[in-house]
Amino acid sequence: MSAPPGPAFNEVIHSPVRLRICGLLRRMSELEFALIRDTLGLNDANLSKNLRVLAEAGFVTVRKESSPVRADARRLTWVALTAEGRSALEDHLAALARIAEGSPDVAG
Amino acid sequence: MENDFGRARPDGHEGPLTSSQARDALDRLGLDGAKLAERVVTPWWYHPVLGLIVAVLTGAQALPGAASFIVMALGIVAIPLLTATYNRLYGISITQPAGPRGRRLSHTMFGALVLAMLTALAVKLTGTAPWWGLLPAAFAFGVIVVFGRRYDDVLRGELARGAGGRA
Repeated sequence: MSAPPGPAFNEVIHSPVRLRICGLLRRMSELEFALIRDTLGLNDANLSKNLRVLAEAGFVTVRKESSPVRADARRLTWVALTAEGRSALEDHLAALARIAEGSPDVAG
Repeated sequence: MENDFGRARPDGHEGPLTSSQARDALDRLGLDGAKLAERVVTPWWYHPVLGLIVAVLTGAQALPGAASFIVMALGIVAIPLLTATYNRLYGISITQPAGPRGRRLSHTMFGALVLAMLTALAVKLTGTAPWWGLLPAAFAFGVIVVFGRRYDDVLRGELARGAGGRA
């Protein structure tokens, strides 16, 4: 059994949109770009920009896949949290939970 | 990377994050989780098809000789094809339970399926007529269809509740 995460704030993740993206991916193996966009009510450009930041930080992976079930032959874009991203997210959520409880002493 | 909590505010302003803002951020994750759960839909055909594949895999244990291996190989190929089709259609790939109830249910299903396969294998090892393998195969089909739908309900509930909570 793994130890509970230690609270640690992460500024890359804490951007509101990026936190919500990571929150969606938290329980999933992968989510498709359009599903994230529609669930969070974002536009393509905003989601792409934030995914790029998360990918550059090593927190998500983005892979393209052809889509035989789509008539327009566009490719599917799959997004997943990396192990590093998952760990950083858990630590960040623990930090948020601690602050929400009124404790300000959160490690960086 | 700067991790000083005192400077990180979701609105971009300097100053410490308040407990109210932290709660808002966690609440928003909860709402997103609920929206995502609504999108985790399982088409009516999914569990019957999966149940059929698992039933074939189970029944194959009772078949004599090479027939057992051929049928099992077909079944093993069919499962990833089915899940890949679902993933592409719905844009979601889930390989693990989202919480403790789902984990318990998946363990129960796994145990029931192992029992069914061992029963089918016993049919072959004891020299009983292979058609008796249909009984554990039918049991495996029922486990997938009944528990699979229940598992999806639990999954949706745990997704809706757990987006910002502890794993």
